[in-house]
Amino acid sequence: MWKSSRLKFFVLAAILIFLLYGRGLALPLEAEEHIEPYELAKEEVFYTKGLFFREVPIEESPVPSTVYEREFLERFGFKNLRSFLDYLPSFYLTSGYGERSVTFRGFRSITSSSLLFLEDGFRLTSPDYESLPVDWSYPFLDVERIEIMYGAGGSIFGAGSFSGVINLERRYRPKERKAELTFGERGDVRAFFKVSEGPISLSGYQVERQAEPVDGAKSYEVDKARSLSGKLFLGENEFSFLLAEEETLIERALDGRANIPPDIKSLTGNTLKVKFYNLGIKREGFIGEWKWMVRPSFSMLHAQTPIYINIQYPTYKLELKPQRWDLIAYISRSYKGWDLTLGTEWQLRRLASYKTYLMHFSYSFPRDDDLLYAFFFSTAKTFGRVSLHAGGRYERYEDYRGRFIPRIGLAYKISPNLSFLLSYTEGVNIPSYFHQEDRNINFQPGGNFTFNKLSSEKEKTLQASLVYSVKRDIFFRGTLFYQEQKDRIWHDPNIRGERNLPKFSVSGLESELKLRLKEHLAFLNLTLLKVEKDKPIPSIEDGKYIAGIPRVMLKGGFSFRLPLGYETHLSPTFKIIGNTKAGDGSGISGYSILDLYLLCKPKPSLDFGFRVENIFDKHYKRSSIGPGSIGVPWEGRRVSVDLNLRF
Amino acid sequence: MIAQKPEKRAREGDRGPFIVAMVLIFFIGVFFINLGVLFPFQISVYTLEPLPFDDYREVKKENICAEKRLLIYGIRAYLDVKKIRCPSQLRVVGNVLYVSEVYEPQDVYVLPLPNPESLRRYGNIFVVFHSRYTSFYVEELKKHLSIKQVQLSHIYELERELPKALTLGHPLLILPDPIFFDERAMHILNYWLRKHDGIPIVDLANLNLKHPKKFTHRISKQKYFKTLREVFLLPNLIRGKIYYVEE
Repeated sequence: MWKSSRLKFFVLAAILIFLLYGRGLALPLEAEEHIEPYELAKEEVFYTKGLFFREVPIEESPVPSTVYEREFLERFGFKNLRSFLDYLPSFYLTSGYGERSVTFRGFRSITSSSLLFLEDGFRLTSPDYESLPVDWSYPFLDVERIEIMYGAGGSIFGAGSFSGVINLERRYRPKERKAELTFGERGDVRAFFKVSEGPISLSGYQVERQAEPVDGAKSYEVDKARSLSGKLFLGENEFSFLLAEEETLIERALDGRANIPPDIKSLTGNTLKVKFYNLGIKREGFIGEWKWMVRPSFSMLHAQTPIYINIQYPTYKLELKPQRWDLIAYISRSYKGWDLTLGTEWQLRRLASYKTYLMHFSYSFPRDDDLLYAFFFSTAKTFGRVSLHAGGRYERYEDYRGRFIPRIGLAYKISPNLSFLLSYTEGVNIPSYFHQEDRNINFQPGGNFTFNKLSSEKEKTLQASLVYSVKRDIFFRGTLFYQEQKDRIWHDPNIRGERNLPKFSVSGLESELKLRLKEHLAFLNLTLLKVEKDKPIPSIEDGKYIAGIPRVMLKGGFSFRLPLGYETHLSPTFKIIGNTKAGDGSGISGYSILDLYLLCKPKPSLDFGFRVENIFDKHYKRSSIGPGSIGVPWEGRRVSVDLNLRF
Repeated sequence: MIAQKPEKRAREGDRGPFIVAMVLIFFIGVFFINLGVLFPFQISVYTLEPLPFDDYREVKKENICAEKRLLIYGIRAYLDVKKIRCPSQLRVVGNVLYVSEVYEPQDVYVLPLPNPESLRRYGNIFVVFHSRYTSFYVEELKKHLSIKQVQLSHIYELERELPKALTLGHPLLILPDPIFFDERAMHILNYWLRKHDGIPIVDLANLNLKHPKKFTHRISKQKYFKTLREVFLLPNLIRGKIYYVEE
């Protein structure tokens, strides 16, 4: 029968038809298909949660934000928070009579209070002024991750988050021992150690840095800075502390004048001294589906600031010791697709030991205790490709009326990697203690100082962004923004004090690009600012309070992995900063700077670094912390070497 | 011996048609099964994505209320029709992993996760790290197995808790939780698991972990769709119930 050709044909035809259509039996012969949890998760978290895959609240905000990680900082050799920020879009460093400031989107302040600096959620800003007093002593070498939120964040974080928020996340490994040393020109010494053992982590940091004499005086960024910080994990509790202090020699007056007579210096001393202590506890848990978090913290600043001016009173010194007792608590959950957060903040500011020394006379301000309370909420919901975000914060300071600070945003996912973000946010800052009530201080014989009660500063930010992100390989953000500030507090030399400025605005474009090409890294940041035409105010020096803003900034860098036997990276970085000149020609000329960093990792436990800042030894000027048209000389080339050890 | 040969050949010759007939019936049977002839019932499905199976009937969005019982396949499809309320319609939701994010008590869910009982083959006590996304599954696991759970809200908590948990010596059950789909999580896992290579790992997320005692437990699509079909055809479905893949 097998020999029957008809039967053979029939059987072969049946097998052929089966092979063509009978996929059921064929399936087990192929590779078995499985559910891919990662693909499912990626889609679901997007459609149900919002914008980003990882549960990082700051990134879920429709307000544009970016994240930088340890690898990026290490490869480009960023050893200091200020140097790092100087390479980001819209950031610009200023300095002056000892105090330093980080300006953002053109908004300068006497004390960096445009930005809120956090460490793992704890405020790093000083009580009262809400500025970052320890930007040099902060152990930046231990930062694992930095989240930057652009635009006012007042609805979540309150005071201090006026124009943006920077959250620094410290590294925590259960077992870690490392030491990093830097030696450089002009007595540049930096030493850092860290020891982590189980639930305890402790790190110390010391910086000494001389300055180069330029135009008759040294412009110190800092002279000495040191800090001790640590974390302790006990059960569900996380304890965190930071003790930091800095000393900076002041060789210039507010107007840039270098030849301060020795007898004037001796009146108040010419060293700015800052001590900052911060202790916090964080506890988190769950009650059913609700996640709760309680974060009490205590901060204290002790600052002594001599200020040399050049008019009627040549010098005065401020001493202050404000404290802040802070309690933040919130609960959050997802309910039927809604992300909901409800929280409250209570803050007691003890403004003690405020003293002013004017020449040979001194005045002690009365002690004041201020209470702040705030209630905030945040909610988000995704409808297909669209996520809507809304939030608000009602806050009330003892001496100022209550105010509601809103935040609304929208995110539209154009494609899996491309999003459009639109947001409107507000921020509010209350004045420092000196300007919370009217005061007239009489000095003997016959002199007087007037402090006026000032209004709180207000900011409104409207932003539209396109964000393109592919894993960790490509990140692009293009943002058009419009920021309007009202009642900004600014120094007026004619009244020898601060005053509220009229409304003004800055709009512009920021673009931020980060690329990872195999083992190479690159970044390119562009900022274009359009400043509303200065409205001259006769009482303000030079009549221009926003004259010191570079209108164009291009910053970038490339980190090449060299084809050597061990891991070696060569990373040049550059900054091209436009001029700050106003219509009448006053202002600072533009400049370009090139830095270079070489990092060699011959062994897992050993790194070498070689850094040249400002390779071409350019001597240039940046805007002063005070009047924008005055330039502060910035130093030239500085060479240093790093040695990093891990045990 | 020589005389027996033709007889043997004759017997073989007798079995030939029988074998051929069996082979043909087998192939033809499989063929028709695949054409859906022997399973005349087709499940009604609303989905926005192509399914790897063809024995279902796709329903258009405007007609979904005509169905008494409807399988909604995938998160996008589920969210797409979530607001369309069809009186007395029973919805079976498939291919959704993080049910707690979208749960509605009137719907039935069939998750692409194994029934906890099927994990007994790896042990009875497990250490589990999870975020709120997979909390509901951990609660289900706890009903069947002894679970040492650690809830995380941030990747750095994994770094802190993992070394402590590994010293307990119990197998580590890795869930398909978003917290693990992160390069840093992989780094942390690989680093600490290298130091504890004697501890078994049961990986439900199919992570790229190198470990001598790793068991990857994967759900096959065929088996999952079979479960979906079986649940869909159950006469007395309980609203609000979550079903897992039986193995």
